[in-house]
Amino acid sequence: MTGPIVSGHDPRFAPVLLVNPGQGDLKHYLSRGGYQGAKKALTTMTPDEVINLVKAANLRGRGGAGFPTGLKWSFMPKDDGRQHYLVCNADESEPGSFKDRFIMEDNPHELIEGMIIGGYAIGATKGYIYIRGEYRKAYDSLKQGIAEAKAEGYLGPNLFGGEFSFEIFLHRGAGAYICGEETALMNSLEGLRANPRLKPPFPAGAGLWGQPTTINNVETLACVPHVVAQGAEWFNSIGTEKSKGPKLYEVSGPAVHPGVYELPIGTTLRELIFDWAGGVSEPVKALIPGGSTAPPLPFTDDVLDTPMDFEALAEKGSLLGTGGVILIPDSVSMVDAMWNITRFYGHESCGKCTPCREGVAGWMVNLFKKIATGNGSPGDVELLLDIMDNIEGRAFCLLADAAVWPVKGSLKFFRSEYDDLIERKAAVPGYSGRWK
Amino acid sequence: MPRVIVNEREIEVPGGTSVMDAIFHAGYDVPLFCAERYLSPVGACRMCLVRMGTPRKDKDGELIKEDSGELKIFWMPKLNASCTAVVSEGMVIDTLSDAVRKSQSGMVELTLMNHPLDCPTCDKGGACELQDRSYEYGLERKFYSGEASGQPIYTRYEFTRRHVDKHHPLSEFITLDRERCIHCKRCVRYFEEIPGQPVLDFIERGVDTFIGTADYGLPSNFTGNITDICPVGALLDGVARFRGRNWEYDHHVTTDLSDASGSGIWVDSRGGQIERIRAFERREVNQAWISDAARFGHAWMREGRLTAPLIREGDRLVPASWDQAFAALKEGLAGIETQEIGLYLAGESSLEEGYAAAHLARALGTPHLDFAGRGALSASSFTPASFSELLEAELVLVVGNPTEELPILHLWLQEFLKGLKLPPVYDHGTAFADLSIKERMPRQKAKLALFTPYPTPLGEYAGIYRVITPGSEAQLFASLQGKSRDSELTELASRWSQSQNKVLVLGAGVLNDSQAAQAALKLAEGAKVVAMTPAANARGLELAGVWPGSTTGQPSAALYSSWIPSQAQLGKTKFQIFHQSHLTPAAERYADVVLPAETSYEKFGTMVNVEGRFLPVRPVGIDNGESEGLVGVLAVLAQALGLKPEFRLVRQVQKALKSELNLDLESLGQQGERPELPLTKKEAPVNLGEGPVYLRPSMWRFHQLSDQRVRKSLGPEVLEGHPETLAKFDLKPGQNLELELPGPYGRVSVMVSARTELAPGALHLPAYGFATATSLPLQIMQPAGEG
Repeated sequence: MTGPIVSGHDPRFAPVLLVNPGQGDLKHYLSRGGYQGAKKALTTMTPDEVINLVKAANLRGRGGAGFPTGLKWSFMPKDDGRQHYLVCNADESEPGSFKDRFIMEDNPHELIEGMIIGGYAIGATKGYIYIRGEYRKAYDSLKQGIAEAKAEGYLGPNLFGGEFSFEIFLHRGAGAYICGEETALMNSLEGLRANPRLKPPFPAGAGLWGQPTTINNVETLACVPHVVAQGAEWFNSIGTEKSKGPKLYEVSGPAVHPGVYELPIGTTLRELIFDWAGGVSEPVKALIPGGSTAPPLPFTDDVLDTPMDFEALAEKGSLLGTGGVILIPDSVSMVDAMWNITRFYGHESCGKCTPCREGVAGWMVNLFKKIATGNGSPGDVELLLDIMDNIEGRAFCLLADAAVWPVKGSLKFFRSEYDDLIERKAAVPGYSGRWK
Repeated sequence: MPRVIVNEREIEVPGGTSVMDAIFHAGYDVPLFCAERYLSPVGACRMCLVRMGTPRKDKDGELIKEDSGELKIFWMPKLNASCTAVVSEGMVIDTLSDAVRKSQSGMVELTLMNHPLDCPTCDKGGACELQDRSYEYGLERKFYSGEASGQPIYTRYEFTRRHVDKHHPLSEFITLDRERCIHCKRCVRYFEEIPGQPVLDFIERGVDTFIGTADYGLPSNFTGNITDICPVGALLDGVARFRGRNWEYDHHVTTDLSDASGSGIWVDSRGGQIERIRAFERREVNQAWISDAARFGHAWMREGRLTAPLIREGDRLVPASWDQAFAALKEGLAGIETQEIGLYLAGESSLEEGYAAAHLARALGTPHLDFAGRGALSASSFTPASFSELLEAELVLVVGNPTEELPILHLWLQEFLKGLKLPPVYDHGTAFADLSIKERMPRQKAKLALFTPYPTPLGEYAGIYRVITPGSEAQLFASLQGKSRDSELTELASRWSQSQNKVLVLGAGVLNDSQAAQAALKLAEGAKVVAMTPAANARGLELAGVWPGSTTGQPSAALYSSWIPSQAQLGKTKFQIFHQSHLTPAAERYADVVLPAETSYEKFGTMVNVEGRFLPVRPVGIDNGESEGLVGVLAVLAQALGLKPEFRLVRQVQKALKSELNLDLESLGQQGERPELPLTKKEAPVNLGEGPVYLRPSMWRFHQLSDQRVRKSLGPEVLEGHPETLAKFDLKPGQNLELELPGPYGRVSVMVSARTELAPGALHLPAYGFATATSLPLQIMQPAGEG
């Protein structure tokens, strides 16, 4: 076979991120060639060479926005005498997204190795992992991994006999989605209220405690050791034109085998859902391709044949996001699903800026409740659209936009479900009036 | 300087200007709630969103043009907050397009959504930013119902508003209405940025967010300013709450005389009474802030005001007319040598009053001329530093407690520690969004060395912070000038001597003690000085010539103008004239004649603040009966002595001063004048007293304590000391004592309290502006039982 690898069936594709679940300890990791990437980077390459390698590999951030990682690292000031920090964003809180958890639980050393290489590249001697508070098992596993790495000299002073020293600190969050926003995460790490900060200054200029800081997602950092060990060419051989490398996809909802699957970026939705997740267990009408932030798409052949990369999904009017595919069955009203998502974002709004605090947390939630409980009146959908116009692009951070996108997407493809409920003055199926 | 185009109007603004200020500077308006002068811009309220675009250069460095030849403007994809965006060369800003208008009206609708709209019962009504902005930007034609009645639809929000805590007391002085709060975060940022005491923060999140404190009370001397900056009626001045509507007040601008800062204040009066005091912006003096004593300490004026003279009949004082009082003066002063008449002035007497008094004293030939709160060395011995010069300094050495002695200086020191400069000034005034100010700026601690007799919240920001024993100031200066075994002091001394740009701040403890003051004068060579005199107008009175002559005896007759005489004075003086606004117990017992006085809010005159800046003091519309200022009273006194008074009116004094100072005090601007003044070194000892009880400088004044709210906010009176000191005097923490104190205090019950931050050696009691930084013997009347 020739050409880029864009299918999990391609014989040239071998998973690297998630292998041998339950064998995440150092012994097994070393037996799989663990810490060879870090050793190679620290002993044979300069930090600039590492950054250039990551740039050449076209590794893009796996946290949702898809920002090129090498470029992000190159924003860090060089030799300025200040303390640099590398922060790993492990506050994975988006509904539909649970890939980072698997890496941290099953393969903690991969993340640790990635952080060592990242820290070396940006000149950071201290790394923080901001881990979601509910991820107790992942926390334990990482804690053990860090202790093992320390004991064996993979963390600490003068790594691999060189001059570079690196330490990792684990910090558990206290249960706020906004802490996944990088500047709010830094505030939270500093012990402050988790409100997003003004940008500029960007974290690379003045981040954690005012020092240059880079914040990367768990999966991004986990890719780094493989990029270093196997080279940019290998990484570039996987994926579509602009999106490269292996990617963890999640499937949740009425799938036969919901879970996390490592596939080449650009695998089609059909392959993921039917070949790997075993198909659907009940009739499905819609899917959300990239975690709850992404607008839902109808479950049609056209959509199912879309490759899952940053560009193709954007073209369809949705987002790759974190790669968390959520299936919405026929039995669930779209209004109910969106009400659920809106309540989530309303609950997680930090309250700093007006459109998000009043618009998302106050108005949208109330309006959804009104429609979903059978009290909707004509004009409510137009009102909802108008409110969302006032919110989208006007809030301080992206949380408000993230709340608006799925609802806007649902109105694009499933508006009739809203109108139907309003016309019949009916509550969403299954609504008992006793919860929500 | 970048040129920017605001809605077709081209202007030039300095680099680093925010887009918001550029819009205002160009004469256009943009709504805002969260941006505020002197605070960091945060972009939280999203009211000020505008459309911005910039020209771009192509690869050859040429500006890209449209086919028509005009510059191509690359508009940003989204609307941006103008308070947090910086201008760039050629930027085009649009504030009038439909997209911007829709965003503004949408944001007003969201802001008003959970606002209770109880404007008819809200103190802010009529002066509310939210009200104004709602009228200007809220209603768009499309929100009108379009029905024949033409009733506008103010909001499309049909759900129950958020109902939370109303009338929530944050402290004795401030009431919070959480329903009205629009979460602009000004108050939260204020406490962290301006006094550096983060006592307020947001609690909860999303639509449930509210501001609150960890505990009851706002432990800071600068809490009232949040009521000024609150854009709605959420934070209200408790003293003024429900006392009048904004349009009923008469607004007067004057200078606060409760300390030597010369802070500008708005005094709002109604029906001949002061109801509210707010900060008036003097950019280089108090910025937009005033201390709590200046703001909340006015309710004492309401009760027990003297409106007519009183004369003694037997052991009683009876009301009299001014003619009768004049006759009583004439009779009482008959046979007294003119050089035996003493004139004693309050520290807040105006420059004009001081000038008239000094003139009369010269005419009488009396050496008995003095003012309260005078130092052993004149404050005008030191080269004064202005507050803006303080910001430029490399090193500031403080010996004293700015938080209590000169509260405004505490705020300037915070600016200094953050490395800020004065904010830029545009056509519309001070910058609303000064982008050089950030949230939680790191403090440059090494620039400040702080030695204070009493712990201060500034301490945590000082590189060197020590609480010293009162009276050890001279010793401290000695070790800073000579050799010291203390390596930290040696290092500080060498840094001080090498520094070219340094400021020395001196408290009352230094100024009262002639040895320490002389040492400070020596240390101050090449430095500028902020002398925190207990007297508000010490520099003005010194300039006017109010200073005691060389004498040791007591006068036979005395005029005490708002001066609290000591027991020694009272006992030896034969004829005593009290000139005061409220009757004090001393006057009741000893006065022969009491003349009703103007308070500092009713004066017409001038004060010279700690920087040597001349600031206008202007009268407020207060019903004060037949009260008379000191200039008039001195004229009456002169006439009673058979002299022809030189000045009867303040304006006559100002005329005389005009030629002397080359300064027209009558038409002094509100920002004041700061002419070069000659240094005059004068000395006169201050009775430092003896004993273990130290009257520590305090922001509040004793007359303000007659207001129960002030008294309550200060809590029970405590006699504080280091545990060792308490043990030495056989005192136990928690013990209740009754103390006999001089002056205005009389018998006071205090609770003994141990405080380890204090240096051992003295027991601390607040001075409340009387005999500040002097000592007393510990005279316990009776132990009132264990606490």
